[in-house]
Amino acid sequence: MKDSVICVENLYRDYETTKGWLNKKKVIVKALAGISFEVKKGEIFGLLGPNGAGKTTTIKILSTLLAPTSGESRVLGYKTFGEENMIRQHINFIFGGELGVYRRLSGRDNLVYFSNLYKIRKNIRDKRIDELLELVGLSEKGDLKVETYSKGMIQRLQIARGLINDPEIIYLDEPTIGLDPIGARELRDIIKELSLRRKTILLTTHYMHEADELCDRIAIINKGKIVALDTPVNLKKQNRITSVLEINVLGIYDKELEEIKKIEGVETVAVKKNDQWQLILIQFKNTHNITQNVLNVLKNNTVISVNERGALLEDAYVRLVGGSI
Amino acid sequence: MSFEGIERFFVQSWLSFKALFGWIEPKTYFFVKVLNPIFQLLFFCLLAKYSFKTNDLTPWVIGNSFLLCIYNSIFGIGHVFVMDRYAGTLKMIIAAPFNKFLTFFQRGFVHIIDSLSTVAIGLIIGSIVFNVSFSNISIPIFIIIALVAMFSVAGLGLLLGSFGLVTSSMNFIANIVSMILIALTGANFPIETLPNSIRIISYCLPITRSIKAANLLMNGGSTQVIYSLIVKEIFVGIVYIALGYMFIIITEHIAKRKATLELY
Repeated sequence: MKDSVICVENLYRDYETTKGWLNKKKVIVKALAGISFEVKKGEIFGLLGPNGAGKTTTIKILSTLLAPTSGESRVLGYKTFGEENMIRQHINFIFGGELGVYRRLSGRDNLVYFSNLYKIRKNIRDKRIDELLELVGLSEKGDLKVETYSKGMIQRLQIARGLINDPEIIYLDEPTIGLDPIGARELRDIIKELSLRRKTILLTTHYMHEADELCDRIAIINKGKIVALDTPVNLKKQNRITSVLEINVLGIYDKELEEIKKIEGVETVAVKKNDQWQLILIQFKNTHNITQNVLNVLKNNTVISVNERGALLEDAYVRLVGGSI
Repeated sequence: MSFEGIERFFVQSWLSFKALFGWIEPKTYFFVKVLNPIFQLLFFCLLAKYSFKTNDLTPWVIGNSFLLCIYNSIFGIGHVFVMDRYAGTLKMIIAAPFNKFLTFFQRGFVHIIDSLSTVAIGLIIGSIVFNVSFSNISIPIFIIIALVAMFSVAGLGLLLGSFGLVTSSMNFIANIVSMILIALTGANFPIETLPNSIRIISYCLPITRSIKAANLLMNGGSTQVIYSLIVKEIFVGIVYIALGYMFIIITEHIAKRKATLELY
């Protein structure tokens, strides 16, 4: 791709660990098994996948924190391992969670510290810090120590920190994890605003609606391999011949799930566990009517509700990755 | 370096010290940096008094006061990368374009100043308890010797700290090194009494020459020899800093290959 700012080609990354105490054995864990993709300038590119799929490993390699085992990864035309000094001024990243800022410093002092790591001139630095605190809604709390902040405020400070060098490329690794719905909405608005400013964003998330709303293109990654790469609209189209049956039940056993999987027309079965009940998501070919057959299997269970709907991005994801959500 | 660069150096030094060290709080500072060092000093001086059957404890008060800088220079500086890892900020520092060694050096700077205060506390308490008098010596030269000693040990701390990128066992390493310094720098046992092979190690360590220079000053020794020891101590510090610089480049490379940046 001519205007690509991130190029990943046949990228592998293994982690080496040991097992045993006296008789140590080397164990190789394959985190990436030959992924390739490109990201265009100004694009919001999503990486979706279950835990351990290789999303964070990909971001670490692209942010110059990890060497690939083999293959090539280039950012702005430079290798992420070997030419990292050419890249670092132009990138930044935001990892979800409460780590990544100094709790004994105020929000403003954190931003001063990190901006100095990018050698930003004092007059620009002070102006930018004020703007960023305003952007993330921390202007009034900027001089308080971070240890007094809520989880959402820390996350917003992380965003300000990630923008401190006005990066061309921003990596966001599950940025809304742990945020309340309003906080997550505000963060998504900030991401959209950044996209309008032609920033390139590589985003990993577990939330399908977030990926659907924000991403121009999505790569679904599973066990270190990309299993699908397309726009959200096209990924959903892949599922156009399927419908989804949602059943809320009180208690479900593996045996019953296996029986449901055997029903003609059923493609995938996934279970979302809530505190008191389970939501069974059954994708099936919409040429079949499976509702009665499924309810027959569940005749000994307490069925709370049954709902049939068309396929969403989440269903495409389940179909490609398989298993529970 | 421009004026803004110098300002940045001091701002970063102070912010990172404040960010990573809890003894900014007066209560913690008192226990870690005042009470604990006083008891360490008393322990070694009393041990020397009964082992060497002497009432003149000047060499032990000076030697052990100098060694009190271990808290800052070995444990403090040696742990900065590890502490950043636990704060989740190490990856931000590594991925930033600023020179990693300079970042590290900025962090060491406040430790050098802070360790001087601990050394001063040790000398004051030691002189009161064990009747050590500083009235007949040149105080400016004594301060220079103490400063050079702190610089030199901070150099060793920087070298040790670079290993924080590839190991999570810095406490283990720092403890071994601090024991080596306590045993082999001449603070507790005269270097002349050590076996020849161990003596070589003593002279490769920081602080050995500073302790010797301070004791010479207290005993009215040759100024020429004292100056020569000071220069040699500075050289030792520079060698450790240079090794630290090299090792940071090497360990960053290894950390990225072996994925140890987030090794807990």
